[in-house]
Amino acid sequence: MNRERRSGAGRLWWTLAVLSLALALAMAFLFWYFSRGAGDETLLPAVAEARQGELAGTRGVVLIFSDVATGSVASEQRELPTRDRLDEDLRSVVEALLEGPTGRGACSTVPSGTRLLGVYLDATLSEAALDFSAQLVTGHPGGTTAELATLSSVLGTVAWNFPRLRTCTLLVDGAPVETLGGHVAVGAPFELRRWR
Amino acid sequence: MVRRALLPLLLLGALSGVQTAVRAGTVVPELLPDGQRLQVGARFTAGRETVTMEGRLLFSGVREVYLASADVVALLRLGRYWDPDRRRLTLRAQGPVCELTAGSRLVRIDGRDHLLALPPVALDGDLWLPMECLTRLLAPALDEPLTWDADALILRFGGPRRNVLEARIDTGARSTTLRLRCGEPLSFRAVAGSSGRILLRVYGGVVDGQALRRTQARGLISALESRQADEYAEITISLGSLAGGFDAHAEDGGRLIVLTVAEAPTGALPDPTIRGSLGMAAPAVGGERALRRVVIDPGHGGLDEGRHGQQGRLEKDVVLRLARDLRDALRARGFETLLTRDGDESRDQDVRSAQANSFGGDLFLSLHADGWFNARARGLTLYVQRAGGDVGAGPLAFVPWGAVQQRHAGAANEFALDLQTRLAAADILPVRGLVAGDFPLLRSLDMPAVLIEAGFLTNQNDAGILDDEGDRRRLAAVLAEAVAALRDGRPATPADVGADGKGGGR
Repeated sequence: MNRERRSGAGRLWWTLAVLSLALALAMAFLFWYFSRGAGDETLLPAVAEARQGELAGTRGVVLIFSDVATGSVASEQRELPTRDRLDEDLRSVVEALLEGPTGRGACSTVPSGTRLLGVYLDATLSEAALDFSAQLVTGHPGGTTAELATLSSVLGTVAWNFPRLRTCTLLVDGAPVETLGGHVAVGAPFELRRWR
Repeated sequence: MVRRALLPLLLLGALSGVQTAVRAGTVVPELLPDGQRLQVGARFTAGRETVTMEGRLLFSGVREVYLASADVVALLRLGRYWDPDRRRLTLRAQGPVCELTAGSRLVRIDGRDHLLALPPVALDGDLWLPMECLTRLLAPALDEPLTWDADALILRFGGPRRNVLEARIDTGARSTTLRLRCGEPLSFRAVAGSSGRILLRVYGGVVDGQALRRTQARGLISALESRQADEYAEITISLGSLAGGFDAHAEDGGRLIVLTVAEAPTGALPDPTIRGSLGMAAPAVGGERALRRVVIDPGHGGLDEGRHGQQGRLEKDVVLRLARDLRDALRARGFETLLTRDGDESRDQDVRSAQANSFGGDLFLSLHADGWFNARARGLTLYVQRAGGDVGAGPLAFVPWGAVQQRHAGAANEFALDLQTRLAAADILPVRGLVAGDFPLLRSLDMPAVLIEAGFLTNQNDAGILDDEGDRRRLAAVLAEAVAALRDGRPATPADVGADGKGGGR
């Protein structure tokens, strides 16, 4: 009778010990898992919304602006969401350029208020056309230097970030224009290697 | 036995260029908690400024610099995709796919495995990649010319973009032809130099010196040498004693420069002076006739007011005043002049071109005043038409209306370079430089043409100089003197530039 009582108490102790061990292991695993997860979440921002089977991540880009004081090239690095689709990437890079620089030493050479209306690519993904709103022309201060600076900013940004693109055409409200302010021709497609 | 076992590891270290700490049998270096921070620079050749970023030495005893993946993707224009479950980073941008795993030396690029000497390291919220990964794996996979200067801690992208790619010399019955293949349409000018040489200046050209040296001299051409200047590549063509005159023209839309050296007439004594003919591609200013007639084009006019500057100044008025001053200065030096407008009148660009061509001008100067997005930019800039179209190979060759200026691009470049030197020396306005572009106004002019943006109306200093009668006349005098020097064959000398070779403006 006493032996049965002792063996029952022993089993209880064994059960409690096993349960405690299992609980401790589970808590240790959970602690490890969540602490690992928390670190990884901050590792890289995966901000693009992925569709089934698509990559989603960020893309390092360089935006070309002008130095406020000298007018020479000033660039800024940004990280933008991407799904590895050329049309989306091209649009997001140009839109980031239109938003202007964040640094105090740089200035935008695209007239403020200019919007990107459309991005077009040919079937071989080597020729692009960017359609801007009319502010690109109506808001432009004019002058050969300023016109070339606008072209350097837009075409330089496209050429640098998309090395596989061969040409880029600029449209304003869906149609080609001869110049932005009366001096530099912009009616024909630009060969991007000249602007790289 | 131990040596044999270590041999592959030593080879791996040597191949990767990484100084692995192989000491006392230890081949895995120790990971430092935060690493040693360094400043790494990246230099680009396409006019971009040098950028700096943080690099780290993450392993003890190993001088392998690590860069954060955020910087790597910006430098190499890549998208990055992080898989937190597998701790795997995928790099991609419409091209090769590269997969790296934190802590693993294995890198997979387009399905092929590569081994790094040291693994990527997850640190401070990013994955840090060893420099070897950039220079040995990523850059070649992306076809990105990239070199790493470990001493200076600088990544160099590309090299000078060579566009004068290949030279070929062919011999004919009584002539020798040099063909220069260019990567893009380039303007040029060939002039007879001293001691039986021809100097061929290719504007905007960056010459492949090795390719040129490999070219075997033959026939009437005894040697080729090249020199690289900022604005042009200069190729010196040494000629044999039997050489006579030469002719130069462009083919293939300006991508092929053809220079033919003819043998001197039979029986003629060897003549040390080369009789040059510049052909249709690059006639000299006033080369075949004296430089007498100068067309001055005050930009804008009438309803087209041009830039609106400080205190209500209008570009059309400012440049008209400068044009009248320039006209007076040129007339005083014996030139015939034409103003495309002498009042507040509208003129279409084609009308201006037609006026200038009908006048039989030998030189066209278009005067403008610049604008900018803020009031800080200042200075004077010179613009010429960039080469680009087929300019025909002979006097009867068909040249489209919109490509006539191509024939004069070399001469215009030469004049603009000389003018730039004189303007810098005069120190009236800061000189920003000489730029080639595509300008509708200049396309149809059958004479060398230069567009001058004489300061920024949006800048108080520049606008003040253009308003001041004395300064404006001094500027006009420098322009007129440059034209007179061209007529008289007096190019600017270092003495014209002054001691420091620069002008600063006031």
